Amino acid sequence: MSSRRSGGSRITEEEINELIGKLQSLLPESRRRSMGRASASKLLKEMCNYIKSLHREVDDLSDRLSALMSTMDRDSPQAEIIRNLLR
Amino acid sequence: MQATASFKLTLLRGMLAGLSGVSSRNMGLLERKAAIKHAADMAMAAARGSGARWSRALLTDLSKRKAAPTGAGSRLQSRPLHGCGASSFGRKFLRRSFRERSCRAWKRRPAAPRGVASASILARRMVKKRAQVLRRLVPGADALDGFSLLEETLDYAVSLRAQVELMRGLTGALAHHSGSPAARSYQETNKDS
Repeated sequence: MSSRRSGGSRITEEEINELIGKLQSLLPESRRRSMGRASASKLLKEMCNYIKSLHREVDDLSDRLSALMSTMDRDSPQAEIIRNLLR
Repeated sequence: MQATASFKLTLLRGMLAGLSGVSSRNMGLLERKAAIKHAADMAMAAARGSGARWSRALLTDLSKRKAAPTGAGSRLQSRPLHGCGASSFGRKFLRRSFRERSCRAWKRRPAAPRGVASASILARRMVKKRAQVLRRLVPGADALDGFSLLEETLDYAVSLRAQVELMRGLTGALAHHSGSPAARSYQETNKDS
């Protein structure tokens, strides 16, 4: 996915704009709106916030999964689901 | 910008394999949580393979930690250290030399008169600061800057989002089939989704 460039080769304006566009399209609509006039600083800030929020969500979901799995035993429906999906 | 279908499929398989290892053991809530996070990160990094700096860094770090949770608060385990596994002295040295190098680069530019912090200088400082924060958030991005940093960030964020979406789906599936209080509370808070 990422283009590997050798040291010294110029990065074109077009490549920069494309990358910025992709990063912006990653952000959820609400964050994109709050960015207002785009700037390097704002983009970096929104990316930091976005990644932090994804980390938090993984943490939260891990909590929930842990709680859900704690009631699982070998014969429960959940265990069956997982076994079936693994096949 | 979405992760590819094949990435998501590999991620799913890896996650299920990791989770089945977790479910077969008797553990406390926090220990299981740490194991789940480990499985999730392992699956994500493995699905990406060696083609990205962040996934290589994650794989290296995760295999060092294995599945042994510290049992400490989630903050300690929340994100792995990035970097190539160099000693902390080595890493500090790397960071210092990078700072010196970028300082030298700044000096080459025409300097504003002392005491006058022009808007552009402030803007540059802010960009530097935020890039620093980003480097700490993205595994293996320690030594990256500018375009490379943003490329790596994009790659990582896309994969991370796929990981989140997968875990949401799994949580929903398990909650749906469970009558436990944990499931009920999840179903309540996600009624509209």
